[in-house]
Amino acid sequence: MNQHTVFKIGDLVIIILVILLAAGILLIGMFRNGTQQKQCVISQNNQVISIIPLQEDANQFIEIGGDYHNVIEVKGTQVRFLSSTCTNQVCVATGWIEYAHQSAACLPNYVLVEVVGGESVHVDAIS
Amino acid sequence: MIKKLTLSGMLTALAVALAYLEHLFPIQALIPVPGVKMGLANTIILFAFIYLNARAALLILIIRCMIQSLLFGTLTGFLFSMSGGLLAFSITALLLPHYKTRFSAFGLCIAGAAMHHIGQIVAACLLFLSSSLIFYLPALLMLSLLTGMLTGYVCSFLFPRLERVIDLQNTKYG
Repeated sequence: MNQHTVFKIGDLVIIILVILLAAGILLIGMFRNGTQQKQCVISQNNQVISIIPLQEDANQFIEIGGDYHNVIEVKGTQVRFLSSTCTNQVCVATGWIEYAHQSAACLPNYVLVEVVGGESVHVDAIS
Repeated sequence: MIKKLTLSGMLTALAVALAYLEHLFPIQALIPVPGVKMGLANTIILFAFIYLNARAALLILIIRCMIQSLLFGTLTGFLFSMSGGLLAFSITALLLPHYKTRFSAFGLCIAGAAMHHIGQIVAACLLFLSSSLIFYLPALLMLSLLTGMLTGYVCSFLFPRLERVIDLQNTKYG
């Protein structure tokens, strides 16, 4: 040890500040994840049309025009394409989606429905 | 003036060599957190800061980052180490006037390491347009306490030896 490494009071202040900052960010992260609400984002032509919270008592039908006619059903914590006048019906076949990052799309009508927030789907990379 | 230039060049080479040493023995193999590193090159920047001046330290830092990314790094790596390095540089500039009175090499190294990681994460957030990367910070900050202590300890060996080699007492580097 020499003059460069004699522990000073300022060192302790720096260490405490770093620990406080780490703890603060950790707390913010826990708080944010705890209250982050599950929502479904409906967009057409890359523009968000509406954002609907997915709560237990939600019950709503959204009709979207354009080249074709889509009906989206929000029920409780799930959302689906109820019907579509498009030719391939992929969006209706997707069925209910309810976990974060899941999505359903009607490409002929440029409509995308995404779930954001809440839990992710409980499936790992292997399954 | 020429001696100062020579010393700056030597210190830059030393910083690159230390960065390469870290590259050869990645600490990430032991602690699997993205972005963690020892920061041995930081000791050289600190030395340049104390024994030369802020301008020399800044130049050594920038040139070290450029050479490092050209030799064995990537473009994103360059952006991360630049933003981290510049933040670490500013905190060192802020604390240095109180060196040996209120802070030791430990404090300077820990502050530098912590700010380096903050700069890295901010750059990553901007690059990937995602704020959730910020939650890597607590782990990185706690690790920066460890790596800062280590580099501070390295300084306690390095500085007296470098002082002897460079013979600062008999040479004017102003």
